[in-house]
Amino acid sequence: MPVFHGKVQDLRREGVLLPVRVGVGQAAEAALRRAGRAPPAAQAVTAMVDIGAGRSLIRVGLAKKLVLTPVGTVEIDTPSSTDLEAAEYFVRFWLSDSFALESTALEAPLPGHDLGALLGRDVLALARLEYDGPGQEYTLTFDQPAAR
Amino acid sequence: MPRRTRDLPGAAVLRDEVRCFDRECERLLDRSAGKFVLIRGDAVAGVYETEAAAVSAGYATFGPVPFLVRQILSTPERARLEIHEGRA
Repeated sequence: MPVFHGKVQDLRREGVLLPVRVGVGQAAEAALRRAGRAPPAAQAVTAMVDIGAGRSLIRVGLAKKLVLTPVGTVEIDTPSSTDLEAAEYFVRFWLSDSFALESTALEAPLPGHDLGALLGRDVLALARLEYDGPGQEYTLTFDQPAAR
Repeated sequence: MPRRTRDLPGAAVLRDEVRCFDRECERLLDRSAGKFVLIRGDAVAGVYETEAAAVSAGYATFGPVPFLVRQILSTPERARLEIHEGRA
């Protein structure tokens, strides 16, 4: 059972942060290979776990780096903008070298310079999150076995 | 009058597919509400039980190119993003 444990210096201010790699999904990887193209290397980013978000997000620009092609669009509203049409991509979030999850992710602006992805309730639907405020720690446990 | 939206990067690529979905939506709702439709260009390529199955079929059929996978719902999905302000 994959378990990811982390300590964040200022957990209240920073939130639940963890290092992940974002890469193309398995089906896209196979399609790229069939087309004679090498799949791009997954990109290492800092992700924030956000139980307030129904969907996972990737930072604007990451899809281009990964040569991702969109599989959907969704209208979104943010605190500062309404009626934005965001592209949706099918990606793999690598939480370790041996554990990855596939999910759709919207490409949207994220705050700060160092946040590359946001893991929403679509990913958390597969996990249990324990938040230890006083200890400034979190534990993310997935029931499913390691997937590649 | 239709609402005007502003495209973030990548969204405009699927204009034809979204138009096709809007055109076919009622017919799809009658037969396949709740399922996931796969559209490439101006044509419906299939209807699938899950999003992952539709995405896999899209890559298997069309290769690494843009295509639309959308759940067949009477009200289009809309996402409200509440960005965590602590890191802004």
